[in-house]
Amino acid sequence: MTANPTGNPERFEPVFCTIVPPFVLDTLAQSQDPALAGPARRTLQRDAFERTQRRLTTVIGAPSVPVPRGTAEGKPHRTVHDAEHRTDLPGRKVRGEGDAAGQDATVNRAYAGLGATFEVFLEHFGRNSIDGSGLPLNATVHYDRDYGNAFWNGEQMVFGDGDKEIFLDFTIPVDVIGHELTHGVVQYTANLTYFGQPGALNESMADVFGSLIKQYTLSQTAAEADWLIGAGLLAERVTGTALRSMKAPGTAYDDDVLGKDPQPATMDDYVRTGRDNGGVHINSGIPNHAFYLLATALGGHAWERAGQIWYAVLTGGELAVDASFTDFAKLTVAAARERYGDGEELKAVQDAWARVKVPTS
Amino acid sequence: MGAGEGAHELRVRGPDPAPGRLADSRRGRLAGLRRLEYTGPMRIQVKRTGGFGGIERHAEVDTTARPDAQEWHTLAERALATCRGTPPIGVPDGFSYEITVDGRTVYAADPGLTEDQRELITRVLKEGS
Repeated sequence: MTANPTGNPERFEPVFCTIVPPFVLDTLAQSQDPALAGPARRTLQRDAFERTQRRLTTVIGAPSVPVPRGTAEGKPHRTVHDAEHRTDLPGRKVRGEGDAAGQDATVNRAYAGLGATFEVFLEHFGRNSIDGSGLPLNATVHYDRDYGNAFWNGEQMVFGDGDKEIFLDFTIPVDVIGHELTHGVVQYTANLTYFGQPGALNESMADVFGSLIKQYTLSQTAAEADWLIGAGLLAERVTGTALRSMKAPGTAYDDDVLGKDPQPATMDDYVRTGRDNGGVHINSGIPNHAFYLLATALGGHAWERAGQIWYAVLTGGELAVDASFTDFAKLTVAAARERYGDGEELKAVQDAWARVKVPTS
Repeated sequence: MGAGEGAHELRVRGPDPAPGRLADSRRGRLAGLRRLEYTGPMRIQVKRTGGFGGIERHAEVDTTARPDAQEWHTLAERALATCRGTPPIGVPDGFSYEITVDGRTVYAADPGLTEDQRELITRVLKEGS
């Protein structure tokens, strides 16, 4: 018996079950004692394996089914799966490309959202699917039970039904679907590291294009759009309108349970934190707001000029995986000049970054 | 389930720890394995970060005086048996988890949880305070 009311830290020997920094693992892996070296080596191997897998997915593309023969060029190849409240991916196939809509509204929303996202990238950015080469689009819905999240796993989108207390079904807002697929586009292009400022830029790209996809489906101009991310996702009892606001970062919700929207709009309120991968969902408010300012200053459809400048930087090859906000901002200035010369676009880009206090020179 | 039955064990390979640090029952019954029994109260904390909304949640369960303490202990031990000591590289918008049992912290991230980790996390976030 080990009654252990004091929380004796020896309780969970051996060492591979504790917080072990990588350099300690390196040392342990070289130990003469196989009891120490073995687990440390396995941990290091597992970490390396996961890193390599993710890198491979980025470099050579996600393993995916080939594009079916006989399908038209410039058309999406969608498949929606149902996890049936388990966590095995991708789950049971419930709707393939061209299949008629079924009874499940979640499946139908996912299918339609994949289509809208494909359409925007093809028609307005000349991009044939996520990888630029017609990659089939796969989504899994009904992941886990009461799962209040959606994510991109490097190969496909995954949607939970929400816990119904705070979050509803994650397929409800089309910008969430666009957001997840844009993570795929980022992975195949600039591949911004998902931590700190490059991570916040990765998040912001996903929000920007997610919002553009929503605006496209509603035929809205920049002035008409709500610039909200995740509107309709919060349960009725939550005091809030959405998860993020590109128009007014920090104002999307203020709730007893959820707390207050922590997003800053400018560098004055930049949040330094180790949480949330270094605040990727927090500081994304700054580049989000810069895009909003640019798009509304230019007017018209946001995908026409503002979106083109952002897309040119994302895919132009000069944006480093570890880019800072300033790196990104400077590239948008260069892209605006290259594309539109010394016109209103250039000035609007410079003004937008100045207002969020990110230097461009 | 009685203490010491099959499901309730933490298998530890390697040399014995210093005497008195860990209780050790039925020594030698399984060659190379020692069975450890935890019957004292256990404090299980779960912190979830990241996710699409970037909203943090934490909750904890103290098994003191809980009739189902043994069940919690078993689940916690299983969840930590395949644990990792450094935060894994998550996927975009995926949840990251910190599981702390009596001051010891391990990390996990979606979608790479074991079934036991997922069950423990779900139960703590649901039933804990």
